[in-house]
Amino acid sequence: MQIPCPICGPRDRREFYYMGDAVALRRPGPDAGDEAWDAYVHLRDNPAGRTRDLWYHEAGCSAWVVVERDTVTHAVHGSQLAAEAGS
Amino acid sequence: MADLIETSASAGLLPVTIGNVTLQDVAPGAIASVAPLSGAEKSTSAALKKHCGAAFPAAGRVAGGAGGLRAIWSGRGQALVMAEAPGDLAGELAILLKGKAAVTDQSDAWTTLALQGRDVRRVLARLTPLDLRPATFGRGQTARSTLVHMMAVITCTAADRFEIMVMRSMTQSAVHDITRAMQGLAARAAL
Repeated sequence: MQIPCPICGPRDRREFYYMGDAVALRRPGPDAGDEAWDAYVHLRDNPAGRTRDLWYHEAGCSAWVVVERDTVTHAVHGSQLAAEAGS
Repeated sequence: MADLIETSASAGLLPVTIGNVTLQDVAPGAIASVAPLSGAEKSTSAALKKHCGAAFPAAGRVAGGAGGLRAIWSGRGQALVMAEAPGDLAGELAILLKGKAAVTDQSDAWTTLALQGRDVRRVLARLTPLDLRPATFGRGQTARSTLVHMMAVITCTAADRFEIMVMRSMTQSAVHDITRAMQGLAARAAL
């Protein structure tokens, strides 16, 4: 399995560390309220279709990467640097 | 001033030739990591180009400079500047790039091994998941990847020659793994 790194190009999955749903990029503000924080910490979608994950190119360029993949077809649709992905 | 003796982490282990591939040590010289500060990428590159002859390298590339100086891309926003002769390279670069980039002396942090021979890519293919075909990984290209379980900087310096940098403390493991791959390939060829 290969993961496209925006800096290095397609690289072997073994060079990456998996960090789960890219929800970490949508951190609520300090005063967003209990409900928003509860959802941020505990609630995850389980989509049949496209989803965005965070990967760390640990043994490569050390970039955090947002990879969009399809949970049904396993297709990888692309990636971008977490630093540029915003929310 | 103390008269320091340069020692190799692979002393007594190298050089080794198996089949048509040779593994040998490359004298470390001086190594400094350069990481441009946010927004100072262009001014860092310009200062390096002016004083060393080597601009800050693009991702996956090596920039050659004057007097054997090289800048090897080594990760997001980081390059290793390497001089053939030992010396206070990091100190000089820290003055040159003051306010532009973070500079760290890495001279004794790495071991550089040269792997050369006709089957060099077939040996490396047993050790790293990189795409090693000449069209995608030719002379002047470099990659951060893994060598077995070790992180490594792998640079192609000629069609049949690669330089492999690993943490100096991992030298014996790297030599062990690379020679095992060389033995395995030579054994298959001899069948």
